[in-house]
Formats: sequence, C-alpha cells, structure tokens
Amino acid sequence: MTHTANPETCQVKTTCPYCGVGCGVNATVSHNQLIAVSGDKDHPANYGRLCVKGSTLHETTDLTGRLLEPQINGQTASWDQAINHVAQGFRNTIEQYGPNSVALYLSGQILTEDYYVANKLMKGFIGSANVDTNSRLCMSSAVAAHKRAFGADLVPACYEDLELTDLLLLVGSNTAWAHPVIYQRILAAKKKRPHMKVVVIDPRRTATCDMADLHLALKPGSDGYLFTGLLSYLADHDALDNDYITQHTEGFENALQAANSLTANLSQTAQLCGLNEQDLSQLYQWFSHTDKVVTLFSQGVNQSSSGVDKGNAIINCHLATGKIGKPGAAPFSITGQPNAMGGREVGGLANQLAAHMDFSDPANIERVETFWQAPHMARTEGLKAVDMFQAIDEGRIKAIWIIGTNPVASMPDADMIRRALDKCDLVVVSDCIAKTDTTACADVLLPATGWAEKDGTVTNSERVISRQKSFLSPAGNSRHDWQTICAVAQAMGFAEGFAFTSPREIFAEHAKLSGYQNNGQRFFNIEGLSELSETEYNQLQPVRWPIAKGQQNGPLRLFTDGRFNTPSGRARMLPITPQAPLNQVSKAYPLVLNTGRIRDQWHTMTRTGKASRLLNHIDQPYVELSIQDAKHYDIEEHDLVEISSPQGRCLVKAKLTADQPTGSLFMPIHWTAQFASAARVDSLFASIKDPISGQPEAKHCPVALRKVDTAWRGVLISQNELTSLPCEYWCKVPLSTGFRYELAGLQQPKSWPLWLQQVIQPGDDRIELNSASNYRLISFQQQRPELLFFASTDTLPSSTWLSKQFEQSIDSAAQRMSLLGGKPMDNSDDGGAIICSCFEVGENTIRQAIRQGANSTDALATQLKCGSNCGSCLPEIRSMLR
Amino acid sequence: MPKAHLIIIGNGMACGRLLDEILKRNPDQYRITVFGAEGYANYNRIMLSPVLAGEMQADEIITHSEQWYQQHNITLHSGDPVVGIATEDKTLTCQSGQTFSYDELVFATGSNPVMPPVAQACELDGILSFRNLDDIDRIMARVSTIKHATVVGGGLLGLEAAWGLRQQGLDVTVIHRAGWLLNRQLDPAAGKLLQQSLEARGIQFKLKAQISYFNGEQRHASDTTNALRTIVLDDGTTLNTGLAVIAIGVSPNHELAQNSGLACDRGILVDDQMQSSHPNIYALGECTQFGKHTFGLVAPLWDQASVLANRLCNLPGQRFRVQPCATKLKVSGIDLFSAGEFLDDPESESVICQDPTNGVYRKLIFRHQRLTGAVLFGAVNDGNWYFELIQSQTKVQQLVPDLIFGRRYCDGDAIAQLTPAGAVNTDTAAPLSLATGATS
Repeated sequence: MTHTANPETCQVKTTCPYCGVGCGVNATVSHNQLIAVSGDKDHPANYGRLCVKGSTLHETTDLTGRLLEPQINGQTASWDQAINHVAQGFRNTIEQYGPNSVALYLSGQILTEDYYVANKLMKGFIGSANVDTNSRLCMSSAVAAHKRAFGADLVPACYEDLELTDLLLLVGSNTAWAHPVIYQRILAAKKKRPHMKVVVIDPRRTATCDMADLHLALKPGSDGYLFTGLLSYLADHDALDNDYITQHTEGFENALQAANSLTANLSQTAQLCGLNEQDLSQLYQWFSHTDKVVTLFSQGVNQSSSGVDKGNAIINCHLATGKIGKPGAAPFSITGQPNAMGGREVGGLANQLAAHMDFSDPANIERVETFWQAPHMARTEGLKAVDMFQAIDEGRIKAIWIIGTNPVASMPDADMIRRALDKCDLVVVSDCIAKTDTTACADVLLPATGWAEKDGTVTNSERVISRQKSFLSPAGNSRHDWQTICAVAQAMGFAEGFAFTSPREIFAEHAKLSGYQNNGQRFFNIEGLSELSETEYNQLQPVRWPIAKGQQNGPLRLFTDGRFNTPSGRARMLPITPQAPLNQVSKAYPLVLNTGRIRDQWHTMTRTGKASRLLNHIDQPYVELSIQDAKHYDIEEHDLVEISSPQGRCLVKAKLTADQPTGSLFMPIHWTAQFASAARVDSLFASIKDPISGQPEAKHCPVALRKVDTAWRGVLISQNELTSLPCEYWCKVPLSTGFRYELAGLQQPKSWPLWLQQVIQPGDDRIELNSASNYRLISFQQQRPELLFFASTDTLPSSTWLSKQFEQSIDSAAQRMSLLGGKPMDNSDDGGAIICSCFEVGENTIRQAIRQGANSTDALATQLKCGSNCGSCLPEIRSMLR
Repeated sequence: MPKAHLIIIGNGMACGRLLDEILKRNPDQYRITVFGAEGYANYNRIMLSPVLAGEMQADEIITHSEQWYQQHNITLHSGDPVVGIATEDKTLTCQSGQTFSYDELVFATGSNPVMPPVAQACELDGILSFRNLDDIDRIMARVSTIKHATVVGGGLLGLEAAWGLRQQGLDVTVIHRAGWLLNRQLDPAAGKLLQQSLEARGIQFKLKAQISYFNGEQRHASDTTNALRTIVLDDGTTLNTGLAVIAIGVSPNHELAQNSGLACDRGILVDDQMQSSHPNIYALGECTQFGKHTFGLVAPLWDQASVLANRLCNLPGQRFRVQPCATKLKVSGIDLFSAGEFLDDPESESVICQDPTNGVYRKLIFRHQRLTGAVLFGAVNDGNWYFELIQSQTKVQQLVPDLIFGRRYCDGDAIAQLTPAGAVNTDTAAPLSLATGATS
C-alpha cells in the first residue's frame, strides 16, 4: 500500500497502541506530523478519555532511535538482500534440520493482519507450530482457563459491566496504573453509584487501593486458595445458584470436593492466604449477597505456575452462582497488550492453530489446511515461548524471527535468552526501534513501521475490533510487518498464499476462515466482516465480535443464554487444588520479588521512554520494600541495593513504603539494558511456568537483598546518547533534548575529569568545579549546555532542576555559575548594582537604609560598612543622600 | 588648665584616620599639632593609582584639606619634617630648628619604598618610586617624552602603576621576580588569569625575572645626570625603556624613632595599645611592627587608629590584634579578591570553580571544616562574606560545595546555624596572608 504524506491538517480516528483497554484516539495530523492526540468520544472503550501514556503519543513519533534501514550483520542492506537473506536462511535451515528447527516469536503489539500472515506462514507453509508470542507471558493462563471452562477463549463481559456491577473484585490487577482508563471508568461509576463496592486483592497496597472498600493484602501467590475457599463458603452458606449449576454447568461436584480438600472453612483459607478472617469473611459475604459481581483479573493471576487453575477457580465461583452472562456479572480477564486478543483470535500461539481452532481435533487441521491450501501443514502444537528459547539454547531451533518484541528484556531467565540468541545461527529481528536488548542479538534487522504508520486492526479486552490507521508515512525505509512476512514467504517459494496487497485482503481472509465450516460450532466468527470493501474497511467503526455472516455487530455479552462453546454446551467447572508458587523462599533467597508496570511507562520503554514527560512520574528503576525490611537490611531511601537470585542480579535504588508487605519486594518491569546498567528484572526469574499455559511465574521470585555501599554518585546530562559508562550503576533518563544519566560507583575514580574523558570529550567552552569530594563540569556549545557532569562523594543537586536548565539557553556568566551551583540563586536579597565594592553593598540596599533614616555617610558606614574602607564610593553615596 | 599637647609625626592616612577617631571621641581633649613631610594636606594614598591612570584628579583624593585642619584647630606643619626628639624632655626639633614640647607623641611616619641595590647604585634619571603625589608629578613629567615604561614588581601597587602608565598611553612591561603575579595574594592559576587580563589590556610581563643592571645616557648635552635608556635582565633580555617605576615593596619608616631611642626592629615596636617602648610615645600604621608583623594594607591601620584613639582618650579596653587581610586590585574591569590563605598544602582542602570563557576563577581553602582562604578572580561576589567567615573561624563544612557560589546559593537556614568559633586567639588567627607593603 502506498501512502502519501498529508499536507493539510486533518483528524484521523485510530486506536492507542498501549494497553489492552484499546482506547480510541483522535490523531491530529499536519504535514506528516502527529501534532496532537485526544480521546475518541465515540469509542466504546474510552468515550473520550485517555491516560497519560496515550496523551503523549505525539511525543513519541519522531524518528529518533528508529530503525530505518535493513541490516545484515550490522551492515545496511537493501530490502531485497535482507528478504533473500532471511528466506534463504530459513529455507536452508528447514532443508537441513526440518521445519521444527525454525521459529517465529511475535508480539501482542503487532496487528491482527501481521499476526495472521505470520501464523499462516509458519503453520501452513513451513509446517511447524513453532510460532509463539509475548502474549504467552501475560495472557496464556487466562486463555487456557477460558478454554477449559467455556470451550473456547471467550471473554464473556464488556467494560460496561464494570460500571453496572455492584461488587467489583480486582484480582492481581493494578488497574490505576496498568489500565488507567478502566480505572477512571470504575471510579466514575462508583461515584455515581456509591453502593458499588470495590475489593482489591493484591499483596501490595497499589494505587488502585485508593478506591477500594476493602483491600485484601493476601500472601503472594495465594489467590487460588481465596477462590476455592469462596466456592466452599458459597456452598456452605447456601449462596449457590443451583438451577444455573444444573442447567448450564458440569463438574460442580468435583470442583466443590476439590475446593473442600484444602479450603473447606474460612479460618483455614484465611491462614493459607495470610489474611484475617474478618476481612475474608467480608468479601465472601459480599460475594454471596450480591448478584452483580465482576471479578476482573490480570497478570497477578495469570503469571503464576498455577495461573490456569487460578483462572478456573475464579470462573468456578461465577458459574456456581450464575454470575456470568448478565449485565454487571462476569469473570473478566483484562489483557495487557493492545492486540493480545487479535493474536489469540488469529491463533498466533504455539498451542493454537487458527481462528479459535486448535490441534486437538484432526478436523480442525484438515479444515485449515484446505482453507489455506497449505503445502506443509503443522499437525501438532509447537513450542511455547519458554520452551522455544530453551530449544534455541539447546540448538534444536537454529533460526528465529522475532517480530515487535523484546524477549531479552521480557522473558524469565533473560540472561539465558541472550546467551541462547547469541548462539543461534540466524536471529532475525523486525522492530521499529534500532537499539533494544534484543536487536543487539540480531543477525538481520528488518525495519518495521510503527504506530501511526501501521494500518490494520486490533482487538481489545472486550472483544472490540478497532482500526489502527496509518496517518504518517513509513519512517525511512521501514515496511509493514505483514509486507515483510509476505515478502519472505514469497521468497521462500510460497507465492500463492501470500499475494496480499493490502491489510484489508488479509483481514478478509482471516474473517472468512473464522466462518469457514463454522456452523455455529466456533463462537469466534467474524465472517460478517469478510466482504468489507476497501472503503468500508478503512471506515470500519469499532465492532464487537462475534459477527456472523450478514451481521453488523456482535452482542455486548456472551453466554447470556447459558450456552457455552463446549461439546455439551455446558460450562465446565474444574476441580482445582490450589498451589503455592513453586519457587519458594529459602535462607539464601529469603524475600519474594513481585513485578509490575508503572503508570507512565509501557513495556521496555522503547516508545514511552522517548517522551520525557512520561519520566517525570518515575524516572529510574527501583525496588520497593517495606519499612521493616529496610530497617532489617539497614537500607535507607535512595540507597543503591542489589537484588539477586541464582539467575541474575539487579542494581537499583531503594524506595521505602508502607504499601509493601514485609518479606516482599516490588520492581517495575520496564528498564532494559538500554536504560540502566542492571535493572532487567526478568534476569532474576527462573523459567518456572504453568504446566498448561506455559506462562512464566513472573510475580514470584525468591531473591536476596543487600545494600551496596557507593563511594560516589553522579549525574551526567548530554546532548548525545552515551555508549559506555564505566561505573557500577547508571540509568538513562531521556529528556526532551538529550539524555540524563544517573550514576553511582563503588570506588571513587582517581580523577573525575579523566573518568569523564573515557565517556565523552567535553567541549572547550566549559566551566568546572573541582574539590576532593566534588567535581562538576558543564560545557557549552553556542550558549547551550551540551554536557553537564556532577559527581560527588556526598550529595548532588536536584537532577530535575539541572535537566530543566539543560534545555535552556544560558547567556550570562552568572547564569553559567548558577548552573554550576546546581540550584537557582536566591534572589530574595538582590542588593542591586554594587556601589561599595569593598563591602559589596548594592544600590538597593543603600537606598533602603537611607529611606529608613540613615542620613549621612557615617550612618551608612555604621549600618552597612559601605564607604568605610577605600572610600572611593563615597561620592556616589553622597549623591544618593542628596 | 591648658590642654595637653598631642603631636603627630606624619600626615598620611594613619594620621588622618587617627584625627577623625580622636575628634569623634573627644574634640576638646587635646591641642593637636601635625608634622607632615609632604607639602600637601592629607590625601587618600590608595587612590594614587586612579590619579596616575587619569581617572581622578589629585584634589579629588584629598581627605583632610588645610581648611579642615584650621576648622578643627589643628596646627599643621607641612614640609618641615621633624629631625630629632628628646624623649626625656618630651620635646622635638624640626628641620627649621623650631622646637616643640609634647605631652603625647604619635609616630605615623609610614613607610619608604624599597629600592633595589642596582637602582640605588646607578644614579640614573627616570628610576622612580610610586608612593605619593610627588612621585606622580615626577612620573607624569616623563610620560610625554617616552614611549615605554617598565614597572619593577608585580604586586598590587606595581600592577596598578602599570595600568596607570598604560592608561597614559605608554607601552608597559612589568618585571616580576616570582613565577606569577600577586604571588602574595593569589595562587598560580589566578595569577595567570590576571596576567592574561592585563596582557589583553596591552601590558607585557617578564616573570621570574630580575634586573641585572640599568643603562643610561645623557639626553641633552646640558644634563648633569644620565637618563635611563635600557634595562638588562638576568636572562640577558634588554628592554628599551625611558622610565622604571619601582614597586617591590615598602619598609617601615622608623629612622627617626630609632634615632630617638625607641625600640625598633624592622619597624617601631608597639604593644596592643599602640604604645612604643617609651611612655607617652605611640605609633601606628606602616611604620610599626607588632610582634613579627609589619603592615601594608589599610584595614589594620583603621583598627590601630581606633585602638590608639581610645587609648589617647582614656577609653580603655580595646586591643589591637592581627587579622587576616583582604586585598583588591584597582584596575578598571579586573575583579580580584584575595583573603586569608591562597595556596594549597597537603593538610588543606580546596574547592576550585572556574569559567575560563568568562575569566572567572574562584578558590576557597578549608582547614578543619573552617574557611581559611579565598581567591576570587573575575567574579568577586561574596568576597567580604568569605572574609568574615575566615575572620570568625566559623565552621562551614555543611555549606560546601555551595559556599563557593556565594551566600545566595547557600541554604538560608544553614547560614543561620553557622556559629563563629568565638573569641579569636591572636596566635591561631595568625596572619594568613598579610600583603605587607604591597600597597599603600
């Protein structure tokens, strides 16, 4: 598809590329620049709202840091060369080692159309199901729980249910930070309907707890007990919907029996969850007595070695009470990524086939094979993410193509991932960003279009398909992922299956497949969208699936008739025996590390890290710990601490908070090797995963904590990005111009000026402060600071103030000195132009003294000393007295 | 009963200040007579440089005119120097032969410029000192006839003289013995910056240089003395020059006192009440020696005048003690301040801040958490605050490194909490940098 830059200002409706809420965005575009964004008032996800990340989208679309040209082994290459290199590499590997020696690793951030062609290439034409995605890391347990309970990966509810409900349980979900627009909607609903209760179930006291009527700070990983305990309680307290159980479910008896095995009574459950009985009983009572209950669950549930079971434990409670398929009543899994759902619909995971079909039924395989006219059909599940990288490490997979994701930062045991990729014969990475922890491991780099350039569809957490539109020309020589995938497929000899010329054609095929031989067997059906014209596709309004042939839009809720997507049509209740996290604390690793997002960053910061505004909230990686733990480990706020596990170590600053339970730490997931010396939190995690979903246990890692004694700290602000910083701790904070680096070292350099020279050569126009304990240097280029370096064995001035000054023009010598001083001058006693130089008495000061009664030079000399030394200012003073 | 007779020998700044202080306390206690060697009323010697530079007129620097003396009934004998004192009789004799008796006698005889032996030996016309208005007249008399002048001595006075001569349109070379300018007030880095600033103003320098000899020749057949033509330096360099202004220091003028039997060493020895070895005889200013210290800057002189006035007016209590001094250079556009120590050593800690582009250099020296020295060049703000902190021996550790940027960068609460060390012991408050004799 060709694209011409838009010369005039226009508005484009598109979809936010960040979290799974999938907000509609109005983009104001002028001369091929995104100049403003606002929330789309008509979009059902956000009705005009945007969070801070979404609001700063226009600050992230510049070309800084973008990957603009294909590269082979570090050398710029043409697209033809790159495509042929990749196709040849894959073909050779397949010829020599078979189709399972290659793999694709995708992302919940690529579009449905990209997903579709990647999945098709791998499963129908290469003949392997080794295609997985980073959605494995956040969603796959919910997918598996859905499939087990409902017969397919179906989200029963919509966002409106969060507003209609009378009791909202937020489980393992810091909605306020991870899904801010949903949080806003809940908050507004609660204000409107004050009787609506919100319960937050989370070991941490998160920002979301601000709106909670009840916060259950349960023991990390004990959520399974809480929900089997709830099922037992419901049965004990006559709070079941027996009609619903009888008519619409199966497996109730086994489910209850399993629940009763560990959590038959409240006190047992409370103990297992580390909660007090009153609080737990309060929740159970509310659940029992409220018809409209929504349990919104997210990574806190999914990222567990028993995440699927936890999902089913939640769903069991809703099924047993019939709190599903009704307005304001449902179990509701909210996704992390903007198009995890689209990927799931396409089937772009190793244990899925396509369009909500899996490998369990040979008929599925045959159906898809026929539809695709597939020459090499995969017939068994492929390797899920953790196993996939394991296979790379073991040499079983020899070529991998990673598209739109950063596994060296986001996979557990992330250092192993790096080692594995370094060993792998062919690593192809498609990305819109040039420097990521993963592109650093690539043999071939393929520049991808980014949000604002990409064109296609995404599906959000409530089954709404929205258009993401292209309104900027592709950056540099970048291409859409679907184009690249199709080009590689064609170069591999699969021309027929990949002759797509637009995303609409791909979407149409995807839609057609969903309806192909469906006959109501598969709830996921969007055949109604398969005949869209180019114009209709371009103007497609947000629609909710299922949309069978002839339909325009789908229902708000699924299962309203109590019919599920299982062979029997009944929902399955699963017998769940809850488990504690597999990896338990030990003497050597006595603390539990939890992870999560922060409000203003997205994933590995490749895009949000470009908007300096988004670093104003939190600018450095950190570990949160309780006051008691801080005391125990002799740690104070901002101390540098080491967090270590058998897999790796991180070095970050300590944040002390009463919100963190004792014995448990929290680190954000966002910082990569591009942003900090040692803050890749996933390098700490072992590859422990759920046996069913393969989702890693990323919320529970036993670690050791230690205070690190730093000899010095520094801040370095540079116009240019720096490549090597020889000190133990550094962290990059992008500014609107330039970069700030926070530094700390264990040993004071023999000479700070020499240390600095190893990093960067300051310009000649410089000012310096030098003492044994402090060194400061600022160099200027045409009145603007180009480099600023402050180092101290003691304290440093405010980085924020320095950063602000760095972006200003500094004209006078006094301003330069003020900058070197590291803080604004106190102007409260501006004495005015100096009259008496001997005693530095200014005109304002003298005039004020005269006004207050000093009527002679002697009087002034007594009061201010002015004129009492050399006397050369006396004439001026006398003239002021006249 | 007749008033006691107070005689002051010397009519310089010390005398002027002492008179002010006495009149302030008790204008009627004494009948006062002043003997001045120079034929002028009292003037501000510090301002000689601006006069040489043409920035001020001689009459603008008069502090006490002859009329002032009359108004205050003070007898002024200008141009009739005292030649002898009979301490037992409490009388003195002038050059004119007149004899006066005194009740109280004050020496305020100031200092003499030090002349290098080679200059004393050569008897050439055009080798001059720069100490008084007569010197300025002599210098100005030559300025129009020569192109080049040499200043010997890169101290405060020498540099001010060099600037004055440069302002008069001459090419000027400064010959200085040390490796950097103002080596009694500045560290090498600041000295170097000062040199660059002055070079930018057209003054040339010969550092680590000494004069081997002066050469002269008869300018006119009628001349009885030879005029200066060249100066040959110890490295062999020859400077063609028509004027040499010597400013290598001063020595206390204590000849009369010594001849009169007063205890003298390098200067007239005084106690902390400014009394000499004899009762009723006192001294103040540059002619004095207190302990091992002699004086060359104006600040201690003001203190001495106050102490002595108290003593003479029978107001007990005040004692003179040596304080660190602060110096400034009066060259337009050059800001320079030095107080206390100026050189680092292994026991001291220093903070240096520099902006070469703007010619700014600031150094603070600390010992035992206290500020002991400040060298400021280019930006001299807060020099006097530093000076106060040096004098009061205040612990300032908590203000480092903000301190070097000045008071307005330091936390107001932290400043409020500063506590001076209290009474300063004279010995520990020893002169950190006394610019003895470098300036008026």
